[in-house]
Amino acid sequence: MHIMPADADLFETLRQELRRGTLILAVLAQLKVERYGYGLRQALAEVGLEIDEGALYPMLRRLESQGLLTSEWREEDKRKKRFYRLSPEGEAVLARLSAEWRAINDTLQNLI
Amino acid sequence: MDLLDRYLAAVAALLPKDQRQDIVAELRDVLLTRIEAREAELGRTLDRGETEALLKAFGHPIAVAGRFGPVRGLIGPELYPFYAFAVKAALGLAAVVAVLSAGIAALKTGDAYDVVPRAFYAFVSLGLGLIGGLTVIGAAIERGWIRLGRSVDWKVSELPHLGEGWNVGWGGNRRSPLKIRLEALFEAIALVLFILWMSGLVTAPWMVGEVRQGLVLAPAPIWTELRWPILAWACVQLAASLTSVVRPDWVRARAALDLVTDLAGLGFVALFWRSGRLIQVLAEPRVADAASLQRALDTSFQIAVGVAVAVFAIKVGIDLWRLARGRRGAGSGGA
Repeated sequence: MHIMPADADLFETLRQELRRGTLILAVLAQLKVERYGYGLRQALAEVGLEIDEGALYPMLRRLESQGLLTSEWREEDKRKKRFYRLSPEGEAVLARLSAEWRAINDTLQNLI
Repeated sequence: MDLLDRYLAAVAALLPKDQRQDIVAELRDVLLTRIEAREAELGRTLDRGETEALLKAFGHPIAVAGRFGPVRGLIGPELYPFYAFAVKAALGLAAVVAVLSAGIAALKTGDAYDVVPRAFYAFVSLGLGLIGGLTVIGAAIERGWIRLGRSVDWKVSELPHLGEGWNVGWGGNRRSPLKIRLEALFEAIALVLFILWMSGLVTAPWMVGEVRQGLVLAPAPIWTELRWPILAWACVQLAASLTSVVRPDWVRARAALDLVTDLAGLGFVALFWRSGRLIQVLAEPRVADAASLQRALDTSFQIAVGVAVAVFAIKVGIDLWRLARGRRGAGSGGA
């Protein structure tokens, strides 16, 4: 089916909306192990989830301010880097969000 | 690295003071990592232009710093419908106040020439002021600086009665009573001004001839002959408008008054047609184009009469239909 430009814009908007919530879940899941921002972005890209840096770093700070992540400055490759990982509270939230995601996925599988 | 420092300084200036150092240190690491990755790809160091392009691609400092701020619109999605409703109500209020203030000013000065620009200016300035004030209040509520508490508590039983016209479903697309009232109110205001002009209490723009290059445009004698019948007609029309304001559900009463005024309107059109003109051109003998101007005005008048006949005829038909039908859904008990 031919997609008109306006339809393509609408699709892109809807795709972004659909993706927005799942990115947080993906970031939390990747931070079960400690990573710094650039490494996290690469890890997500390797599994097919590209995320803009402009969105990633503010998201990491927001999740940290919400108590879901902890961070620490450490020197690596002769440069100070900020490493993030899940806090105990973040682990609990990730477990609940993962269960919710699976439930939504199962429901949608029956619908689409 | 002067470009990187310059870029980061521009971002830092826009960041919250307590987080500035931390965020800039992280951004520096991100950008240096990007630069190093690009240099590894190329096998050489980046020149100034390439570094600048890389920093530009990262985003404008305002945008980058903005992403680290709290994610919140000036008016959030929950508050926005209330804000939009308040803005519409404020613009309605501004329109009424602007028309009234311009009308009062015209009454005081006895000069109606600038009533329209005066009303327009008042509407724009008052409307923009109200929108600005509502936006500030909305932003303050959004940020919790103004707490509404229990003042926004509401009950279904306390919602205002808006009449049948607002019902959804069958008949839900009828004109709402509020719309009928507003239209009738504006019509009544215009009629009051018209009556004041016709009675000579306020000078109407079309009643004063203006001398320009030896030409005077004056009202035709028919206006003086029909002055009192037209005034009576305007008073009946005013009564119909006020009836609509007070009792928009009195469909038959309103239709009967409208029928009287619309039939009278057809009569006035016929009398104007017989007179041949609405405006006469009085010119000094040296003005050569006076006759052609009079012909142009008369032709415009003939076209206007044709339109007026069509409008009044359609309105009479609608009035008769409303009179026969009454209030839909209320059987024959409609007023």
